[in-house]
Amino acid sequence: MLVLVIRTFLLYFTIIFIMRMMGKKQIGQLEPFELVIALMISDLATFPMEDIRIPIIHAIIPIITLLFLQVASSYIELKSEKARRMLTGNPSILIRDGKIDVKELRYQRFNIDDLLEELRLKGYFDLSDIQYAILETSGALSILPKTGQAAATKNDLNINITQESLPIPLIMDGVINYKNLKLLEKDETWLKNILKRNKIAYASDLFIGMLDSKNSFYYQLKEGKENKR
Amino acid sequence: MKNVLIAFSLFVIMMVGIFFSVNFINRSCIQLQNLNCALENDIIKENYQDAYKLSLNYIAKWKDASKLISVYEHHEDLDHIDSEILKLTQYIKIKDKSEGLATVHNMKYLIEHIMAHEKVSISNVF
Repeated sequence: MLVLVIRTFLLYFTIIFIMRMMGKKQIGQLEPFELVIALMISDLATFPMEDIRIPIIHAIIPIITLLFLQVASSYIELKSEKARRMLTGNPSILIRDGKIDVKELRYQRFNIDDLLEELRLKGYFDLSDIQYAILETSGALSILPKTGQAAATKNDLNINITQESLPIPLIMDGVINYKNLKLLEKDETWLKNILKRNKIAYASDLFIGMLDSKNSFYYQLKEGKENKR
Repeated sequence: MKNVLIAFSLFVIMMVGIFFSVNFINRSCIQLQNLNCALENDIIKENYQDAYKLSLNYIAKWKDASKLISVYEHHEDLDHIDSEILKLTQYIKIKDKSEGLATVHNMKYLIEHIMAHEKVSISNVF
């Protein structure tokens, strides 16, 4: 029985390693062949995990081969447009210039209910609001609404704005993140001064402390901790 | 790019490993098949004393080889050989020629079966 635990540990870390090697795409973003590979890998790992008569190498060899095939096809796709078209196909335009392309809809075996459902999920309840709807190779639907129906942006309203920067966590669970401090070209004295200004006795009193996108210090105290008086 | 290199190197290392492993399996199986032939001859000639010694030698050799072969082969295939060889020692002990010969023949087939598994052939691929 203990062998099952050891085998599960081994396969778990192998799968984690392989999935990390395969990249950071999520299920919804996977291309068809990547989804098939992910499913095959999960299936390959299951049998040797529960049956100790099957050598673990019988799972590892096909998994490594699949990793190689996946990485190789992604690399070839990256380099050749022809290969990209062959392996992942082309996006299909389902609504063109506000008009549904019935032929393409049929070709993709996408019925009108599917289309309307996808549009509703994207927040468009009216078909007449759509200028373009494109079925991507991953199966997701991209929508370009008619210009009059798109949400107004700050540029449309001529509002002057300054570009926001990325929020940087400086203290997490009471621990100072020196790497991020260095990234900001600041030191601990600078951080202590900020804490002093915000009436915080110790960095360890904070659950989180970060420079937000507007460059102001945002923090939350740990439970039971209070600001200095 | 790093991932591509790692995946490629891993695959190459695996292929080299497979090459050496298949060689090891074939070498071990050929040695065992030779012992099987010697056992068969001894039983045919009713030379049971030598056959018994040889069967004990076979057990020792099989134990050594199966330790590594079990990493690559389905354990059920190896269990069959384990049970056949234990039966064989007893058939030789009681000088049962027909059962002894049948068991050696079965062992020959089982060892051949392990080697056949590793061959790149149409029947294995499809």
